[in-house]
Amino acid sequence: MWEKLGVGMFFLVSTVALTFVIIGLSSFMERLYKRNNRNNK
Amino acid sequence: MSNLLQRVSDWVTSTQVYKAIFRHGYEDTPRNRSLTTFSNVLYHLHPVKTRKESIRFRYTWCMGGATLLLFVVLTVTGLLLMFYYVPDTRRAYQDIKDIMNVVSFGSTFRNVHRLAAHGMVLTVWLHMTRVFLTGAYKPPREFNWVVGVILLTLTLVLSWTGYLLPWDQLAFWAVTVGTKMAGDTPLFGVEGPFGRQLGMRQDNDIKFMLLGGTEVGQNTLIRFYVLHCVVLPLVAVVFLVIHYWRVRKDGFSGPL
Amino acid sequence: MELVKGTAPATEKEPEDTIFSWPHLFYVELIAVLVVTAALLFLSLYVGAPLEEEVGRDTTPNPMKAPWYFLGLQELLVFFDPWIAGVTLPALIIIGLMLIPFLDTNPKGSGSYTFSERKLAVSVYAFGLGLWTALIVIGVWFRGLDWSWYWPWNDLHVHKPPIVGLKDLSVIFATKLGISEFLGNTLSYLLVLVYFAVGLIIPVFIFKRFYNRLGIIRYVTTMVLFLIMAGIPVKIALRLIFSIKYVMVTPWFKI
Repeated sequence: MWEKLGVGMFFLVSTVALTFVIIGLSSFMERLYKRNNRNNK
Repeated sequence: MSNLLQRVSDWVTSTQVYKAIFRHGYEDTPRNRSLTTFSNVLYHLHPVKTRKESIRFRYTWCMGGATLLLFVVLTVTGLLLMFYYVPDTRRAYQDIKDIMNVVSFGSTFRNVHRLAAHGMVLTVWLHMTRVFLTGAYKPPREFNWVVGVILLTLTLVLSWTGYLLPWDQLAFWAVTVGTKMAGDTPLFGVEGPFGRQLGMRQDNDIKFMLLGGTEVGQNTLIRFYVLHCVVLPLVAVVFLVIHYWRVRKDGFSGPL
Repeated sequence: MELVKGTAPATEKEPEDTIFSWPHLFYVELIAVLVVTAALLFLSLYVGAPLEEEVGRDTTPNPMKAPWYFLGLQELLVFFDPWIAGVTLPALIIIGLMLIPFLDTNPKGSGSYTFSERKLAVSVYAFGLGLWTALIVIGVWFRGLDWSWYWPWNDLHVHKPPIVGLKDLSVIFATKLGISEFLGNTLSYLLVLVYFAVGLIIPVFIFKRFYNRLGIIRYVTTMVLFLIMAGIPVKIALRLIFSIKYVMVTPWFKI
């Protein structure tokens, strides 16, 4: 029973974590871009 | 020193041999920069002037270029491997062993080939993500995105057909599992939903077409070899040409 | 159209935004070529291409793992039939990817990185990619003999007990509610229908702006694809929590 819970939690956590990693990447690139644009332009 | 270099360069660029190959000089003028680009067969695939975004690593991650480079590396190493590999089930495995152990630099080429193949799947995936995150698929670039997805599919199929060629346990069973799924295709596979109703049998469904028979054997090997080495690369080149054409016509993306 | 004096036939762009391909672009390309080729040659010294034993038709490797980029699909085979996991879902993924530019009507963010102006699009893409990557991660590191679940601390040479006691949803309905098999079956069909109906109808009223911007064709296409994609973790959860094998059973296919 605990095993199944562990497996389920792992599915959930890994999916959610990776989703947020990609969202975070998009947000990070946005901030990087704005900083660069302010410096260059 | 620089005066000497300048005089040597002036002399070289005035010789007949130089002028025969390059139809322009080497001065650093805007006119000459343009001439360098559009009088060279490989360079003139690029525009003479390009948007600043296209050379910024922070914008592009260089993944599209990396993918193309890996494709070229795969072609070159693949051609070299083709000299030593015969797609005959009686000797394919031995040929791979010869490449790894007997042929000079054979193991290097095979390793580079395998690394570049997995690397290309990764760079294609990263390139798609980058294009998505920069919204470079929005109008007017929608069709180029579709061409890109087709290229993604071709990359995966190229990788899968190549996987069978070493004819080892990993290859054989990977293709067995894959073609079993083909047999389960709806409508076109004999084991899939509605397959039998549409007249699919063991000897005429899509699995049979892929395998050249009912099991993974010599027919399958030669089919996958031809697909992997000839058909799919040619199809990929056609779609690559369209892909670059669209980038030239729609312009490289960047803020308006 | 007008004729202007300039050094390039640029449209929609200011001339200051462009640079000469020679030398800038070609230098960058050269550096990229050198770096990638060097990295490839260097890595090939340490990472060898594997070669297992020759083909043996009587022995299947256990576990038989596809290359890593297909492990996402192979992991799905645990929870869905081969025709779904191997054919339908991949086809829908490819078609769904191709449709993205035609379903995304947000004009913002074209040509620059932005999350704040494209929250929905980026989130949906991130969810799809995150799910795909999570399935690959599980397929690579958490599956062992007989495709059972192996934690990193489990012994990979010891077989794990097979999963038993999986029941179809219709059977669960029949036994728990005390109704006939036929009614249980109908109830399970209804449940799937309700899932899609709720998913399609509710956002029309809550996110009216979203619906109006897309129009009905784009809206239905987007929502159906999204509901199928979201249905994957839902089915996985139903399998893990309630031991449900199939949510819907027809004479021709089972989901």
